[in-house]
Amino acid sequence: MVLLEGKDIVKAFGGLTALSNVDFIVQEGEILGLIGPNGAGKTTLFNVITGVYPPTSGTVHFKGKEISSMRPDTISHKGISRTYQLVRTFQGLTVLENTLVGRFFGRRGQTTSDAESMEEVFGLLEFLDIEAKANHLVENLTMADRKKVEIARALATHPKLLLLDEVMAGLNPTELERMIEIIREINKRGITLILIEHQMRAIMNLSQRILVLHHGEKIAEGTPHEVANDPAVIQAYLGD
Amino acid sequence: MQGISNKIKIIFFLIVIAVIAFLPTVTSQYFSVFLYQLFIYMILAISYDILGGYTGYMNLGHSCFFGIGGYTFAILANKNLGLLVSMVGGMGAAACFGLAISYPFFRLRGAYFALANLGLIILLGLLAHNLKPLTGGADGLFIPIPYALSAVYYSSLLLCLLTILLSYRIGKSRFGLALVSIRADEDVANAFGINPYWYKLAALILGAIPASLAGGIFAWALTYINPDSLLGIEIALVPVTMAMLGGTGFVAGPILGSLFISVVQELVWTKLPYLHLAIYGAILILIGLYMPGGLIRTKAFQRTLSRLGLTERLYWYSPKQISGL
Repeated sequence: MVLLEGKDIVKAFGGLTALSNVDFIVQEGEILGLIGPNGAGKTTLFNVITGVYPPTSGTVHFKGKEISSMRPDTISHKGISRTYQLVRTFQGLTVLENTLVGRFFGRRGQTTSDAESMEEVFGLLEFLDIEAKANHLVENLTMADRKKVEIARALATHPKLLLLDEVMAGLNPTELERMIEIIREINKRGITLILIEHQMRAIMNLSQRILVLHHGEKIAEGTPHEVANDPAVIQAYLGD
Repeated sequence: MQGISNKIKIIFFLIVIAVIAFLPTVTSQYFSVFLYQLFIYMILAISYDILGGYTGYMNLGHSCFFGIGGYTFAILANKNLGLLVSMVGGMGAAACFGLAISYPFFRLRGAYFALANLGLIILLGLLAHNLKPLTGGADGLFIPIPYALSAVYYSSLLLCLLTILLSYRIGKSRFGLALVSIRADEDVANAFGINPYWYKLAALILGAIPASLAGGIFAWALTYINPDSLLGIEIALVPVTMAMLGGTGFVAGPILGSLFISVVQELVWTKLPYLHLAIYGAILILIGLYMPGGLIRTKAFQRTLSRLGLTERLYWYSPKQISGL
């Protein structure tokens, strides 16, 4: 089943075309890798999907409904959440409070008591091995932990689709290993994932399919093996 | 985090309130007036802090609500509408004004928001000067409702307590968490299901209501108002200074800040009649330099506050809370 579908997406910032005529499909339950050299438009695509920028033209459909003109808060309520490439946790708040924002406001529907919500959020923190730091201010955490806080905050919204923007960048080998496990486990829980990543080994291992952007255009799409051997991709990464 | 039990805490605060309520019967009239003015400043500082502290939108025009509350009260009182109706009218007018400015002004962020609002006070001051038939212009307005100092004292005390309670409740609620997340990063808050406009509007109106009622009480006690007394630059900036000096984003900050500045002002003014403004300025600069988080963020106050069981944390995880489920 198709969970997310982008048709002919164009996003222009003045004279600069960040995305031109990008089509893509995300199947429910899969892990889709999104790669491309710096400035290829990967993060812009995330911003278009989550409603930060409306596309200049083209549409995004989520579960068959158009979401391309919706505000970010509405899109969050529909079940799409994300993390940020340059970590954007709420400074001045604790790990617990950061995650509670996702829990309280990021999803629609049943309201639960504070105690129940805390229990649930605490379970997420345990899953991400940061429960001991629940009451720490996020600015006192290491980068790896702050990335985990971002994932916890996103998971607290109960997303159907989670967009992870370079969560593995800057991690040491042990942290990287653990992050890969976490991503697998999130996927096992039934959450569809789109990963932006420069860690090639990790993304080739994790993704079922990979989409390659270059200068705002889709230059390849397919299984990791197909993409890795695609001449256009090799040229984009290594030059002529 | 563990402090004294809740019961003892509440008894402690009740005793403090009782002492304050009892004070006018044993002290001089001068002291009662000092306290009543302190309450007014405290209300303004705390209500400023609801938008300015939790949400991080520094509203230098917060006293617009004070002025509108006071003027509407005076105008309605002159139409013989009685104390209560005039007060409520002032509150309604300020809330409508908040609603009206929210759409254009909340498109601004940071310093631009602060400056636009400061401009608004000057604009309102000009209006008060020039709408002679309504406001009496520079001649001002007399308030025909007689007042007693005790009534002013207790109504401002009550309003002050309610404002403290309001701010405290906000600081421990989901609503407060949304405001604080907007302060931290408005766009990310938006991406996590918060529509910043509605939350900022709610914070603005919740701050406008106590400020406008304070304006009404102030006008009532003054018996005569003019543009300078309600929309002057001092009444606009002093409460903001108090909140920032005490520490924004937590109700104890503006309380402490307004107490501190009022007492210092009073002491300096009476003991050093010639140098009082210089000393006052020097104290403000020193605190700004050495206590950037405000008085309450210093170690000594943090310790006292945590002993009282008061923290600025909205949510705190303690294992007991969970295992009880």
